[in-house]
Amino acid sequence: MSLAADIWEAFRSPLTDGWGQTLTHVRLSATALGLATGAGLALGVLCAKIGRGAAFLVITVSNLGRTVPTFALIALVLSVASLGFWPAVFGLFALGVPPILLNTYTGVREVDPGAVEASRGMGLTAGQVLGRVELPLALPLIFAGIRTSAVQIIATAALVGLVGVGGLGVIVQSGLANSQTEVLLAGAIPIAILAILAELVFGGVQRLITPKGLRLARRPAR
Amino acid sequence: MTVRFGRLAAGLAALILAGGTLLAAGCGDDDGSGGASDGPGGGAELVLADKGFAESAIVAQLYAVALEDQGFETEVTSLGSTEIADGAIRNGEIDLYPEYTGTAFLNVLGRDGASAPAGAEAVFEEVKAAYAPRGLTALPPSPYNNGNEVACTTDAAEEYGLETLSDLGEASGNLVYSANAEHLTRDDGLPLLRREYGIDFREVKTVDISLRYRPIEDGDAQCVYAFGTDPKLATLDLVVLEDDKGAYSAGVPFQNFPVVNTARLEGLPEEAGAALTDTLAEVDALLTEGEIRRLIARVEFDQDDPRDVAEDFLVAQEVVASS
Repeated sequence: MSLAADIWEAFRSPLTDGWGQTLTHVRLSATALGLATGAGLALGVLCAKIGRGAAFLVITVSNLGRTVPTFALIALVLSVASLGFWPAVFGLFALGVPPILLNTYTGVREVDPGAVEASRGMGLTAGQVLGRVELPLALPLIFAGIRTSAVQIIATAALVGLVGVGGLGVIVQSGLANSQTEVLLAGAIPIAILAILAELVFGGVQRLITPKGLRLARRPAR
Repeated sequence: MTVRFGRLAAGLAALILAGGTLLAAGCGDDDGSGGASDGPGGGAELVLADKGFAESAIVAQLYAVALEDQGFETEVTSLGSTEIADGAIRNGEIDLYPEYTGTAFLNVLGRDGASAPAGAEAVFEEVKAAYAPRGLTALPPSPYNNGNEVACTTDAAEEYGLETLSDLGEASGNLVYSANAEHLTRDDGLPLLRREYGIDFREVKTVDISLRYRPIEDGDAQCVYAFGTDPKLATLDLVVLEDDKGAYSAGVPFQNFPVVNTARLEGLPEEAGAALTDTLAEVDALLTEGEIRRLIARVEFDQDDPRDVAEDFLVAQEVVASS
């Protein structure tokens, strides 16, 4: 049998449960990404509005999520929680927040002050300014942050198989331990596909949501 | 003039800092190495490995401590699986590691359990003979036997009438199993249980091998991949299922024995080589099932360091002098 056929067989095998693990992997990544986006957006906007000093503090704390190895974070949670889904989500959440937070903060802060002035002059409340002017203008940057987090989370979710939550990483580890290349690839290839899909999907959504004016402004002049 | 001097000073400072860091790194002491060079070992360096779980680490440290007492310099590293250890010792990355006769027979050599000779000694001799052309020397095993087993909670056993592995085959669709990733596709692991006994668990929780009892303790799994020497089998409410078909361990014994890279062994001066084999034999002879369980319990329950456990044991057995 060709390698491709071997890999497919290894993926479908009830022992590795490729489809089930893919589903788990997606659930894990999506949950972590969703929570990270929510937290990142909220904190990012907060940081943009409060003073420089406080913002710096929040950002530094959040960056711990990137510098502390994800597995160490999960191990910390394991000492108080039982194995499984939520400790893993926590670790991935901590990893995913910094890019989104940073990009939201930067994006909102760098919005053209002229636009903000103008909208205030038009009588918009602070909340409306945020919702209708600042966030939409910051959208490209925010989405760049979400895309980065998505790919990092999907990749790192492969490492959390050691805590009983499952995911495609388990298949990779099994293949690695037993030197079974087809099993290893049966786990690694889907992970890569998921990451690429995430890039494409978020890239597409970003293009749809970006206000037309911004899109036009970014296009090089003919 | 002042600016240039300033730049020069900064550059010099950076150079000194970098050089100092490199020196400090180079002078760092490796974990687990040390020991006097006096003794038949003559300061020969040996790289040992364990397979990443408590029992393996303890045996590797027992070897290391005993060998250091004989004047060897040792270093113990932890590897992820049998395959990785076998590959590493064959290409000389490591010199010595503890393996099981059953694992060597079924897994490394890929032989069929049905073709295994009768008796632990015969199996060892066959492994030894097969290892020689692979550049590996198999040294005599310890008395204790550590087979693969499936253990389930007594509650689950009562509810589903589980006494043998075949019983498990019928009930497994309702049960959750805890095992490590390697077990999933390893030929003598889950695939064998499925093939021979029809075991197909509702869910398998894959965890790091050292954490495999955690899902049982947390109530998330009812059955677990157990080793015969696991002290948790005694302390948790578990019952070991009988291997009615004799296929799981394939009726093959799992005795601990040291594997040495032949080229390394023969490359040692005669005195050192003899000291190596004699020391290992002395240590292995002491390891009965009771003793090894006690040592593992210290690491798994008391959270003691394998090296400390090894040192205490060897001092108590008067194999090494107390330091």
